[in-house]
Amino acid sequence: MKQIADRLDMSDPALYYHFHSKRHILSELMVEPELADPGAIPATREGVANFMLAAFYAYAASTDLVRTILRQQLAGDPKSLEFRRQAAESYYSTCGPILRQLYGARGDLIAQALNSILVGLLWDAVLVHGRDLAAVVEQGTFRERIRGLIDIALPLDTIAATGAE
Amino acid sequence: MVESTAMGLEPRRRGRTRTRTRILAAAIEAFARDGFDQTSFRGIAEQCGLTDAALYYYYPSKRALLDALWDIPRANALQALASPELGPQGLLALVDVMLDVVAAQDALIRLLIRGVLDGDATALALRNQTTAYWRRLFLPHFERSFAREDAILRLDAFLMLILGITLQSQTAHLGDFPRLCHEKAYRDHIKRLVRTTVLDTGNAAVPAQ
Repeated sequence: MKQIADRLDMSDPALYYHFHSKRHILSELMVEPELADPGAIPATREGVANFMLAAFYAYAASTDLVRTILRQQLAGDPKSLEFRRQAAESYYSTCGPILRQLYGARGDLIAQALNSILVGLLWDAVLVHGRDLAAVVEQGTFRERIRGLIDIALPLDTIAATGAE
Repeated sequence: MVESTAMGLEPRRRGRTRTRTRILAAAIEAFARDGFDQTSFRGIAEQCGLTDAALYYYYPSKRALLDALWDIPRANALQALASPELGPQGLLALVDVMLDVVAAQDALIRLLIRGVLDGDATALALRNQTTAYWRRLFLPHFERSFAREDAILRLDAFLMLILGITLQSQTAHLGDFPRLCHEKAYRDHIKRLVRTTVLDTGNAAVPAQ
């Protein structure tokens, strides 16, 4: 707390007025970035791809959040694990039904693979690029990479495309 | 005569192996306490209760120690696998090798990631080296089944998938991850995810798994 107060040019008591503990600050930091309204996602392969692309950018823009959560998860902090559980739940309830509709019995596996690939990419990128993450993901080559990975996670042979499961 | 020589040598060799194991465990403790950059060769020797010279006999540098920490589980896991056939079958066999290694290096991987987040240069270099290793190992398998550019992208997706899954399990199952990682159901599930996405050609309707 003292270090945070120093950084802010604040006295300790002034900081304590706003946050009663370091844990309190951490829990306030762990807020899921604002994502698109689930109802507004078109129930198509393209719709899911665009939603995931936007979700990835929302997280990548919050580099400090991602770093904090990864660090807290490695330390076994229950709050950070709960944060992830909730984020995963909202993802599955948003994209799960659409992917089941698009891929039938494969839908659940594809939903999990898509999520894991992007979680892996986010963590890899934050480890490789550190605080520069937000700037790096804006580059064209990085955009192409994410788009490519999403395309691999979402096979082209949807039920609509092949007429059969 | 030959027999007695062998018997005379064996315990000594076993003793050396035990010392090596003890040194590596002490090194992990030292790295955990002080970080990879800050841990000195002397600090590791002290942690083991050895002199610098004695430690030098086993590992001539901190770098050599770090390499041993990474390479030994990898070498052990790979040894169990006769040269895998190029293509999807070999690739899935290598997934087992990779998961063996991740399970064996659970503690080290957590340390490494924390080190990278803290800006530890040694940790970052080690991580890059490890990623490059897996890339080299898996690339021929992807190239066997896919055109060059597609193969590179699929390999990327594959590595991100494994990282995403294992790191999620590592943090959710603190301490229990190595056991989980050896469960057949866990591995089968990962392989099913790999087959359904990164190995799927997506052109023909694929029967549901």
